[in-house]
Amino acid sequence: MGILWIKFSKKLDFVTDKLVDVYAKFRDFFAPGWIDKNRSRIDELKLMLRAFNRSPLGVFGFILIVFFFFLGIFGPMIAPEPYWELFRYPRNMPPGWMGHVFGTDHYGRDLLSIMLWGARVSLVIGLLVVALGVPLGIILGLIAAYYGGAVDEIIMRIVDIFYAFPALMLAIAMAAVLPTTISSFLYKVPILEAFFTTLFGIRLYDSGNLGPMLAVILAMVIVWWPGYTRMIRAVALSEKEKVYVEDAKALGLSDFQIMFKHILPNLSSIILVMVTIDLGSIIILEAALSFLGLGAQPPIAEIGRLVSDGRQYWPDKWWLVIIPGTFLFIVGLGWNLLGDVLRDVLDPRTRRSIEFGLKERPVYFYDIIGLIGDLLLIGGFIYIVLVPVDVPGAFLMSGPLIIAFILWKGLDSIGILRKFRIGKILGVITYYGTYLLITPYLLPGAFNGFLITLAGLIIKMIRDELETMRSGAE
Amino acid sequence: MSNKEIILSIRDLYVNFYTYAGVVKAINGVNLDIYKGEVFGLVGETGCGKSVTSRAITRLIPPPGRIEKGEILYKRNSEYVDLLKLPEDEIRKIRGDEISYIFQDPTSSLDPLYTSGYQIAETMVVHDRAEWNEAWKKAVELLKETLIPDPESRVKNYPHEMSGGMRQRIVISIALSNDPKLLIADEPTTNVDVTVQAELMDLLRELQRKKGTTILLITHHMGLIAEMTDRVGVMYAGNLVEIAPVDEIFAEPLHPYTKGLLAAVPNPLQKIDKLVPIKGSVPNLIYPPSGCRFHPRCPFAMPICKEKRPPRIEIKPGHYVECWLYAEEVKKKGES
Amino acid sequence: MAGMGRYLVRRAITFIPTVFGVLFITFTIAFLMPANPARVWAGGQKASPEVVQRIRRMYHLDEPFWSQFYYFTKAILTNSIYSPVTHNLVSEEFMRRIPITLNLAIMAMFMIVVMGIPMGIIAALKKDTAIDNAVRVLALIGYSTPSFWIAFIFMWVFYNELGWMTLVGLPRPSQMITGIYLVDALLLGEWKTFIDINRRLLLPAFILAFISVGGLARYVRNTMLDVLSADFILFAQAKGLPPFRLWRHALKNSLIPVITVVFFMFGGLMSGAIITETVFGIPGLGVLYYSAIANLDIPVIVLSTLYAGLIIVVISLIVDILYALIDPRVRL
Repeated sequence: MGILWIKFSKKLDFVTDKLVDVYAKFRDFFAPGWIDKNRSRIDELKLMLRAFNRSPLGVFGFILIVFFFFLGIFGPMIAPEPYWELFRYPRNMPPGWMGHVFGTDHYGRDLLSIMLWGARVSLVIGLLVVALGVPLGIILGLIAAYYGGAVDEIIMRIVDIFYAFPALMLAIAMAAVLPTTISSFLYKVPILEAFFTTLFGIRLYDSGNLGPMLAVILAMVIVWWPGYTRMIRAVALSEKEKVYVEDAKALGLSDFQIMFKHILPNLSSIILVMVTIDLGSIIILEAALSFLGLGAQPPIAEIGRLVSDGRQYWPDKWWLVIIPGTFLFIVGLGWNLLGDVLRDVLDPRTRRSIEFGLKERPVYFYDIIGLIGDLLLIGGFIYIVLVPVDVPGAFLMSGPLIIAFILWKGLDSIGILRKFRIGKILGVITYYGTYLLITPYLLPGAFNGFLITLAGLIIKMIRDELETMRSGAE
Repeated sequence: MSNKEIILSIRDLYVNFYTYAGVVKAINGVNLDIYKGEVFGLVGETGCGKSVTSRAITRLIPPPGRIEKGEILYKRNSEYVDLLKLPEDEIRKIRGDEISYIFQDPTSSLDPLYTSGYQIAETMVVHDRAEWNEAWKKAVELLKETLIPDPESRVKNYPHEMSGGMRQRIVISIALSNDPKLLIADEPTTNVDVTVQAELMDLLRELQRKKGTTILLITHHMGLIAEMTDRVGVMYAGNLVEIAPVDEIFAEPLHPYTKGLLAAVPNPLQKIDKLVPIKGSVPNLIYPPSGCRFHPRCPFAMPICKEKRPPRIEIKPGHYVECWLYAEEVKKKGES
Repeated sequence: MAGMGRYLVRRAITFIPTVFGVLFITFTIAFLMPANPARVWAGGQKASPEVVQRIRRMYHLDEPFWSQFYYFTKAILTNSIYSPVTHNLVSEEFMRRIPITLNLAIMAMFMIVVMGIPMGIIAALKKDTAIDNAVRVLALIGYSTPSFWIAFIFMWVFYNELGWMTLVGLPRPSQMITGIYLVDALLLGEWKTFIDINRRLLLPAFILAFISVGGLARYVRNTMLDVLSADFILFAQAKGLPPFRLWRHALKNSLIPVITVVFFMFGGLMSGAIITETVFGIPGLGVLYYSAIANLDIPVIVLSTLYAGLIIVVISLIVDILYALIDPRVRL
């Protein structure tokens, strides 16, 4: 995977660099001279994105999230059938029934359509919880850290009180109590009603469901903000001690300006990581609440609800549980992967370990093998290429060093090779302690043996090469 | 000087750190003899390899660092052993018993979860110098020796309950608990108050006089060097560029770096009108300068400095320098 | 130990406002309860206005905020709040259910600690290797897994396919000692009950553990790496300590922050237990909540939340005291 990934991620670098340039031009358009002033910031941003591109897991998570956003935004528009037509088909039909990819649900609707409608609800709920809860938590955290003393003590005691409740229980209690209050409020403000029905992608006719849905959102906001207050306070406390805060005070800036214009931007990367990871947890907690029967009621499409409706048929009609459940898992995994890799990329300490892959590497011995291989390829011969993934010096630290893979071209004469595609990975060679190990992938026995022998010879050559490289490095 | 007994001899020491950014060649062929009973000072800028050298003596180089080659000969029971070749268990017996350390930061050197008495006594117990009961009693005595008031109750205190100076005295007590033959003090006073600094140095000198311990003092503080040491080694970017008796270093520095270093700090022996910083910055040791590592900053750099590493030259008995300027002189002397 | 006394006093001073705060928040939730549950409890739309009025009076629904808070507190102290749906004392309902939920949470916590701490230590020692990455991926998968989804999958494997577990009933030991079934069965030496309880609860507990174990392992790994690179470990090595003593210093220092995190997980485990209980039909708090939500039985929901909050407040008080006993830095 390694070398193919690096090749691929270099193409990504091109895209992300362009994106940053476009962004810079955009800023420059509104504030002329922005590019010149922020040149180092632009470079830093490019480097961060390049570091991100080096992580297959991060890019995979990002793709999942983009896909989720796509479904969330356009789902209701591309859904083949409306969510409100109940019992149009027989209930609980298996995937593939009469051309319905996911079959039909508990209410006899096309499950694929319901999932598409439900994606919008999930996305909007997640974003609203973050949009309401995170600013609240951040403001209180900043105030607690900045003023300290009694203010800090009071805010943190309140946080402790909210922390005392098991999150799900507090959310259940709130979500159970709030709906009618919210519904009667919305009834008085039709414009809000219209706004939220559009946002959730539901009919105005179903606006009675807005109460329970917003109740779930408010409940999760209540559960969520203390975490942000706690974290922001902890980080802001150390940030407050830095010189620039002193300078800002000496310049006579107001407390508000110092907190929000000077301290807050320095916390942005931590907040970004936390929000990303939390968006995953929010979607799962929301599904748990609707699984328990809170939030939107049928016919509104709600993914947690789908699992709850399908559970009585488990395991005979497994798809009723597995399809929506897997969707939730994949979305959650996407956010978590993205957040975890962002944490590595945004933290300068760990970023260094990714950056090494960015540097241009000199031409080595293996490249020459590769070149010879290319020539042989033209001649229609099989060959093995061993490619270094790391720059010199890194090999002592990191795991996978070299990946052996095989390219072949129309070798019908050797029948055994028909099973392989071009670029198929045959084995991974790693540097483990002081040994080079080869982990062969599944291959037919005889050929495997031949390959390992061949690889072993090349490994020996590479080891010698590495040794000379190491002593030459001194 | 040379008729004295050598207690420790570092020969051709190389230490590398294998980081993601590349291989840091931190110590690049250091040669050094330390005589019994002397105080040897090691000076240099931050990051020049003073601490690494001192830690390499008992192989305290955690990964990604690695001692590449060299010999560290230590006189143990009247015969020399190579510390780099000793089995792990043997070197462990030497650490803290025959060769002990004082680290820079007393706050982080002590385990926060154990009392100071426990940490002192532990050092004696693991080297079979005493049983626990006895070790505790000895710990109290040691605290008395290191001039800690009310030692009986102090042994029961945790590190966070003491001041920085007090903690460093605990660290010193730990280092002295087994009467080491060689004490390596790595910037022992950098992280404590100025007033406490003088007290601690007095204490160390007093103990050295009383017990005759050999001390390797690492510092970047020239005043301390002048005050405390018998001989001095100057390190630059992983090389030991000059070794001389303390008076000669101040009176007659030879290496351009030593001269620069002395011009950059107030010299206790000379009247200087203004302090001159050394121009340029400390080199990146992943891609160190070729030849003499000081040549990019050296005001007297010659073409040869860029190409070849200067040899070690003994200008006077006991005064060594690694610099091409003097290689020519020696050659001329030899010719004439 | 003089600092200890002062620490206890200070901790107690923060304990009382926290209990009050928990009470106040739960009351505010109850106060937000709209008027129409009275109608639901009285029998839906057809309920006579008199009955609705009587219920409203009984629960003091028409009075101002503070006066209602007074009645609420009084009713809790005198333990006189009944569920309008089942007509049982709410506290009794809760007490009947909570041992099962605690049982599940404690089993899960035990598994998390037993698996997570060694995993974290190994990951720290084998930093940046396949093992380390595996722990990282496990943690990420755990965070992303909806517990009900994985519960169904496990149920299928271990009940429908392998038949290793049971799905009905929950055997009780003949006597109650601690109130936690599993512990009691063990203490009484009732092996059959012990095994039966395990057959019923082991899998749900494992699911709870699965979700959090990677997170704990990763936390242990990070603290362990911090401690191992600390100066005092190098100094301890310079003192000539043998490996087992170095380990003692390193482990003690890295496990202390882990203790707090483990107990912080307890709230999360109780939350998770509600979901798994609902899936597996275990008669714990989860089932109570599930039926209360369906019947709009708000006193049960609110009071159960209050009791759960109080349990956690008390647990965290105990943990803080234990913590102060181990870590000298806390008692200042």
